[in-house]
Amino acid sequence: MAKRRIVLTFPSRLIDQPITYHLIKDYNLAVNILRARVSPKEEGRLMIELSGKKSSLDAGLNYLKELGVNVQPLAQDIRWLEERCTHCTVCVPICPTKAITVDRDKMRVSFDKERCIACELCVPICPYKAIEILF
Amino acid sequence: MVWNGTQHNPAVPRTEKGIPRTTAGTLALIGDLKQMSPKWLRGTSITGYGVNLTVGIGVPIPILNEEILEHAAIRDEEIYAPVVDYSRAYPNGHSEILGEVNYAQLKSGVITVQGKQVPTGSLSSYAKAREIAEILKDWIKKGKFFLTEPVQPLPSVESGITFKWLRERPIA
Ligand code: SF4
Ligand code: SF4
Repeated sequence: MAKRRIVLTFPSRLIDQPITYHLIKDYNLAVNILRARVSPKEEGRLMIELSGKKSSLDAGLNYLKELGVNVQPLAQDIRWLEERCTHCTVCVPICPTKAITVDRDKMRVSFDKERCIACELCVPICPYKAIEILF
Repeated sequence: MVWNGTQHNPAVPRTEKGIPRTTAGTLALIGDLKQMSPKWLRGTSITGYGVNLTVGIGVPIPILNEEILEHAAIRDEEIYAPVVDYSRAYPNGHSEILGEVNYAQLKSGVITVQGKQVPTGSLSSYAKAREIAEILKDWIKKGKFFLTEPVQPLPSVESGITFKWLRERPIA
């Protein structure tokens, strides 16, 4: 089983296409939609987690590329700037996935990129601008 | 440390031990900005409130007698804070509070307010506070830090200083 978290950008000509359906049905992939957005310019952005056999995953990603969908790894999009973080813990209660947690003994915060769904809730909350999300 | 801060409000309700139950003491400080580090002095932006200058300072407390020791040895569970609704009561100038919690409860990550579990965050940094305390301790141990004689004591409960609300006057 392989797993990939990716951000897809769809040009306007593709936004009415049932692309996730094909990923599931034709490539036998489990698609977990983390976020989706269609911008006023009619550009689609979809953040998904794909899991399945390594060969199916590669074939699915190839299908997306051939269609003209831009595929970027999600990991590039979220950054916790540790040197800016003061461990003020303000972002902790707002994070829905517990990607940001506190060691209550040391009162220090840590960020687990794997759990982050890039919902951006913590971004305006952080007084130090220590979390950057480029989505 | 030169004087009390503009929001110094000593005459607030206190516990039996004399610990304020709400924001009370503030300090006015002087320092040379050019010698400061962004580790302890930072411009911040608080959504819904505005911009702020966030400062971390270490203040040594000389233990000269038992009374000072007692006040320096206060535990988290002895420090209380009021729960204030910043979405309604506060901006409208209502002093209504939703309850009182202590710092041990706040630091646990959840408090109970009117029967509901509410997650908490600190805003000031315990991790940084400990870091500063360790640095200061190190300076004192190495004989690099000296105290100066106080010029005058800070205004206390007897001073009669009270807090004045700044009421917003709507433009007609
Ligand atoms: S973007 Fe959302 S999920 Fe990620 S750390 Fe921030 S609040 Fe948590
Ligand atoms: S709100 Fe910002 S500074 Fe505070 S703990 Fe979270 S990331 Fe760090």
